Formats: sequence, structure tokens, C-alpha cells
Amino acid sequence: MKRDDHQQELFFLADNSYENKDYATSEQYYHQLIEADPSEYSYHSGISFALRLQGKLDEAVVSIDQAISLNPQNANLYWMRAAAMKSFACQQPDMSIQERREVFRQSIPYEQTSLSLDPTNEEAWLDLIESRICILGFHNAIGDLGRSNRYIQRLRLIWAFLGSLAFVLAGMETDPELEAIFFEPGASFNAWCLIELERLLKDLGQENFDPLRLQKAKNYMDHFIEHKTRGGLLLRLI
Amino acid sequence: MKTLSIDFGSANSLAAYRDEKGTVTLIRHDGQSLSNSDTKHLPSFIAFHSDGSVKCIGQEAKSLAATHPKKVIWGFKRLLGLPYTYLQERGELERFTYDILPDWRDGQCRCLVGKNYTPVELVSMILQKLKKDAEEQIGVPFDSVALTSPAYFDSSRNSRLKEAARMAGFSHILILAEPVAAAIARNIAIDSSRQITLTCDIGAGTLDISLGVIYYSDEREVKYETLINTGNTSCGGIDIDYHISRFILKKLGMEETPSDFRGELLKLAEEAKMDLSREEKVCRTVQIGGIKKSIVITRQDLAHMCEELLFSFRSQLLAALDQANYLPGQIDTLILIGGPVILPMFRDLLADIFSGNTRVLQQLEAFYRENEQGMVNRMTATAIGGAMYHKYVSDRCPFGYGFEEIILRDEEIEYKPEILIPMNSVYPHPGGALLVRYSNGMGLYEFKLIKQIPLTGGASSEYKFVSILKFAVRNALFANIVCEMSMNENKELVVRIRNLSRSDETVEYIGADIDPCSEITVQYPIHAKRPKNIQDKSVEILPPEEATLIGFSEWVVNTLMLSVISSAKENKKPIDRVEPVMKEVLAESKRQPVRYQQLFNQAGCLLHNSYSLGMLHPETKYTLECDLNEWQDQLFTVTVK
Repeated sequence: MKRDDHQQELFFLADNSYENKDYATSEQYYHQLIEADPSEYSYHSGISFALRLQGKLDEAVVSIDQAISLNPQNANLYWMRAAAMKSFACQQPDMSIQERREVFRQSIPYEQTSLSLDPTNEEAWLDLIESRICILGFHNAIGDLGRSNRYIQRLRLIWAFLGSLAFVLAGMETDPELEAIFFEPGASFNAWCLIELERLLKDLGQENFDPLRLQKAKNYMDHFIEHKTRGGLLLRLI
Repeated sequence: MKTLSIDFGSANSLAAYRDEKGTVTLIRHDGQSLSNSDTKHLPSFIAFHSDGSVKCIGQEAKSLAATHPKKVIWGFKRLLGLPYTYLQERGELERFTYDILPDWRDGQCRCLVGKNYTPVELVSMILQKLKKDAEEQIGVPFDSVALTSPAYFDSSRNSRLKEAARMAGFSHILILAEPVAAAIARNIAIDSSRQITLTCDIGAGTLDISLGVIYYSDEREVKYETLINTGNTSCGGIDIDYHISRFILKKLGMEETPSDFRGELLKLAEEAKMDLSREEKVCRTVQIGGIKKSIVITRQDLAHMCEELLFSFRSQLLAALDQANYLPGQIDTLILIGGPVILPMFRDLLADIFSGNTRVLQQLEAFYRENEQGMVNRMTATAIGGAMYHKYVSDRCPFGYGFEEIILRDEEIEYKPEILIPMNSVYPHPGGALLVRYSNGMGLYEFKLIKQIPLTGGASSEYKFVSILKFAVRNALFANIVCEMSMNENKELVVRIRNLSRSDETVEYIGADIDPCSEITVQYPIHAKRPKNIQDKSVEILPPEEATLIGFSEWVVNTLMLSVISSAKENKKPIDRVEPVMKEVLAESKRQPVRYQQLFNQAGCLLHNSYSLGMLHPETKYTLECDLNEWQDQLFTVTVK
């Protein structure tokens, strides 16, 4: 829909505050926008970003739900919903691993819906595979790895690592063809993913998990970090 | 070119051949009689040795299924073309007695029997056996096949079926929907009017109901358009056998089947079921341990014990009609497929549902009358229909296919369709190629596959965005990318994307239009602001100075290779593998400077492989990697005109 001039100005201000990392002000502008036009989904998704980055994750989830109800064909909204749920679970110090795992399990249908609408979203595929690993569904993680194969190009290295991790934790032989992707000179990685993986392995370590398999997975992690030296350095600095 | 028709089923498969005179012959297997009236089915069972090699296929394998459940594979048609996660989340994998794992390459299933086999490979084994038996019986080679596929198979699953047929040695493959094949075999008149067709396929393990429309299309081809597909995975012949076996046990006064009698009891139940399709009642003398008793089972008993199953069948059927907004009286054609449909309890149920529809009631009566005699019956109709189908085949593709082409201007970017396969092209079509005229600084390219669809009347057309194909190159500056598109003789769209600068950077999609991301209509041309990372080919790649090239070659030999060799005490595997290539590239790069790119890539591989095998200290590796990064900056430079 076409925005009027006042909304256009508010939207610019909200966006500008967001860019300047002033999320509280951005939230205020988005509130005004929603009051002006509650049927515009992008205002609800915009406020959810501002809320999420202020740590108001439960409110962020409500906003995304409103955005989804207004535009159910938008793939990104479902992905954002899952991401907000997972961030919420990870940032609750009192939440047990089992409770956190339950949130990850609930995030899977949102990730699947997002991918059914837009299967080209590489990061959504990685999130789905990660969710599968988190809830110990290693076979399903490998299954989704295969489904995503034709869409993954840019984050191939992290994808191969997640796949190898799932193989190891499932107690299966890792495929050399999958491991070979680690050594492709052009394979790029995402430092943020490394941080997430570190957390994932830490969580798995708190379970009564086969220590041999876990150690092998940790070796993979070290090997992966060392392989991409800069990534390793970045991770250590953080 | 001889065409074999194959009805590949979950439990049984059948092949048929139609000669020049129009006579249809059913293919026999492993000692079956020549008479066309006897059964000619090949059980779709494969038995394996412990090492994973094939032991036998067909009846012999089926007889081993009860005693070797982990080594005899069947029912894999249900796995074909479906993602592992989809099957797992719906609990379908629990039905299988053998191990099933996910395949990391495509997310589908692999069956574990000593070795890993994909469902496509397993289907190809059955098809190969049918082909071999047909060639032995008819005495001519078959390179063409008409394969019937269930109405619920989508294009993705049909493509897997084609892949299996290709693997089995067929070079020309035609996929035909089972309702169409059955309609042809039963001489149901097909014309341009749209016939509402209800197909009930009660197989060994499942019930599938499909409501669709059959018509003879403008493209001179018989079309089947699905309106609703529904089914029940626990409503098949096996479930009926299970109910009969429970009935027998009850009559014997037993609660549980003794494990050594389980196979025999199921066999007895299956025989009783088949006899009850012909007779009002059957009498069997059963002996288990010390108990021996004569048991009588009537058709009424059967209907009573299958009450729940019949209720489920009725609900599914009515729900399918309801969802598609049809009443039983509006159905033009009823098609019944599968062994159990012959049981009178299904006839009575269908007669009740369609009581006001005289057309369907006549078809039902004819179906049960003809099943008692003649070659075309519920088990053979699809294979025979497939053999008779060729007269309807169209040799033209009604749609056009191409890519969305990008034209770069100073400030904006224009998107327009580039059709490489025009509408109404004759199969196979050589297609065309699109040379990418821009470079992407990220090394990642996306190609949008466009389908051109004729609008009613044929005067104009519209474009639909079907799928997105991604392609990544290692070195964005040295990439020359070409997209080729063609249509093969199996009516599959083949797309190949290649980097002309690197022979190993190639990707090929057969059936690229299947499994579409979307079918959104696109209005061309589209104008947008030009993204920063997309450059046109006016970017000039500057070759390195000769001194840089010599310096890099010397670094490779004197620093990198020496470091690796001195660190390698026993394990020289990566060097043994890379050294000859390196030397060859080094020698050639002096004569032909463009090969420094390959030398650079090889150096990277050597460094990472040596490190991964523990041959390099992390600090040494880090220093060498920093050096290599510096060389990269010096070797690969560009200028923008």
C-alpha cells in the first residue's frame, strides 16, 4: 500500500534510529506508525527488530505474529519468528537445556514454513539444520542438509561443518566428499555461525551424551576454527 | 524402437508389450506359464546377501521376506522422491523392516542392506529385471519404456522414476498417470470434454484416492489434472490379511501368534482373502502346535472384521469429493486399481456411495464382470493401458523456457526474459545458451528460470518465474559463465551452468523445472537500481607483472613446498598428490602466464591439506597463509574502464 507523507517521514525516522542503533527511539516511531496504519505488516516486522535488539524478545515474537497474520506469504517473517524464539531461549539464564530444546523444537515448523515459501534462503536452512542438531534429531539434520544442497553456495563451509557434526553425533561415518568442502579455497564462512556453534556444542556437552562422539565433534570444531584462521582469531577475541 | 510398458508397484510389477499388429502380450517371469490369463506379476522384492550384493529379485526374494526382514527390501516405491524428514515426521519409516537413513546429497532416503542403496537404484533393479525378462521373451531389445505412475506422484517423484528407468538402460522414457492408463485399457472414450475421474487404488500397503480430470488436450496429448489426492497408509491388502489372521487366532482360542507360525498364518490369511473374492465362504484346516481345527470364514465375517477399514475407505472417498466440491452423482468415470478392490465388500460399498449415479454403477458392474474373464483386469489394466498409449503421445512442448536476462545500464539494471526454448518446440530440442555479460564481485550468481505459458487463444503469452538456480565460482574475476538449456527426448528440461575458465565448475540440472520455488507471474521488463556488486564486463583484469609471477613461483617452490616437505616425516600423501600437478603448472605458467590462477589454487589446496593431516605446525601454517593472501592481492588485480 502507498504510505502518506507523514508515515513516510515517520518510517524514515524509525529506520534512521535503527541504523544509529537507537532501538528505543526506533520502537517509539514504529508505535506511531502502527497507530497510523495497523494493517501494514512491515511496521510490525520493523518494530519486532527494534524490540529484539533491546532484549524484549517476548514482545518481538508478538509483533512478528501480527506481521505474519497480515502477510502470511512473506517467507522472512516466519524465519524471523523462529530466530526470535531461539534468541529468547538462549538469553534466559534460568531456562534448562530441556526447556531450551523445547523452544528449538517449536521453532522448526516456522523455519520449514519459511523455506517452503523461499527455499533459497541459505541462512534459514542453516538455522533449521542447527535446530535439528539441538534437539538431537541428527538424521533429520542430515536429511535437511541434503534438501538444502542445491541452494547453498555462499555459506558452504559452515553448511559442511554442520553436516559433519550431525554425522559424528549420530555415530555415523562422515562422508569424505562432505569433508572435502572444508578445503575448498573459495569456501567462505560466517563468524557469527561459529559463535552459535560453540554454544551448541556447550549445550550438548551438558547432556548425558556419548563422550566419545562429543569429543570427536569438538575436535571437528577446533579443526574447523583452525582451518579458517581468521575465524578462529575472531572467536577467541570475542 | 520397441516400447515396453511397465506398471511398477509397491508389491508387484507388471510389464506388457504391444506389437505392430496391436496384440498385447504380458511378460512372464521365472517359470510363469505362457498363457495370458495366468498371473504375470513380478513381486517388487529384492533380497540381498550380507555384503550388500543382490541375491535374487521377484518371487524368490518375496519368499525370504518373512524370515529375513532386514535383508529383503520391498515397498520402496513409497520412499521414491520424498525427503527423509517428510517421511520421518509422518511416521512412515516405522513401517519398514529394514534400516533407512538420510542421504546428505539430496535429503532423500538410502536403504541400508550391507550396502547403501537409494530408492532410485532399487527401482532400477526391478525395471532392469523386467526389461531383461521382456527381451528374453520377445526376442528384441527394448530401449523405450512407458512407465505408469500413481496419480499422487508429482513431477519431482516422476523425475526420480525417469532417473531409475534411465539407470535400468532405457533411453526413451514416457511417464503416464495410472488413471489415464487404466482408462485407455478399459476403452473409456477420451475426448476434449473434461471427464471427472475418481481413481481408487488399493494396493498391498496403502489406499490412494485421486480425483482428477482426464481430457484430450490442445497439445494432442491425454492429460490428467489432479484435483485432490488423499490416502491412508494403513488401509491396504496387508491390513486385510492382518484382520483375517486375527480372526483365525480368535477361532483357535489364542491371543498371540506363536513367532514360528507368523509367516504361515499370514500366508493362510492371504489365500483366504483371495478365495473370498470368488466364493461366498472358505473352509481351512489350521494346525498350530497341538491344536487342529477347521475354520469357516464367510464374506460377511470378512466385512465385519474389516468394518473399521471400510469406514476409513468411505470417509476418505467422501472427504475427497467434499474437498473438491463434487457430489457422487457428478463423477463421470470410476477407475479401480489394485488386488483387494475385487473383494465384494468394496463393490457393495462403492455401489452404496454411487447409488444415484447410473454411469458409475454401469462401470462398476462391467468392472466386476470383466475381472472374472479376459486379460484386462484390476491388476493388469495400467500396464496394458501403457502399452496402448503411444498413439496419443505429443512430440511438442507447449511451454517456452528461458532465463531472466540482466542488462546493465549506467544507473539502472533491466531484467527481461531470454527464451532459449520457444513454445511448441519439438522434442528433443537443442535449446540455446546465454553468456553472462556481467561479473559479480561476490562470486555468486543467481539465474532465474522463466516459463513462457501461452494464454487462451494462443495469441500471446505470459511469463512465470519457476525456480532459481545458484552458481558459485571460486574466483569471481576470472569467471566466464555460460548457461545452456535444452530439452531431451524424455521431455525433461536440462540446464547446464558452466564457468568456461574452470572445467571443474559445472552444474547440471535434469528436470530443472520440477519442484518449482513458485509459479508467480512476472511482468517484463523490470527496471531497478543497479546493485553495487554487479559490474559489467568492462572490468579489465590486469595480468600480473612478470617479476610478480616469477616471485610467486619461487615462493611456491622455495618456501611453501620446502616447508611442507621438511615438516613431512612419514606422511607425504598430500605432496605426492599435488607435486606433479604443481610442477606441471609451474613449467607451463612460465610459457603461459594465465595458468598462475591454477597454481594459486593448487598452492592453497596443498597448504590446507598438509595442515589437516597434521604435517604443519599451526604457526607455520598461519605464516604461510598470510604470505599466500599477500600473493593473492598482487596476482589478482583489476581496473574498471
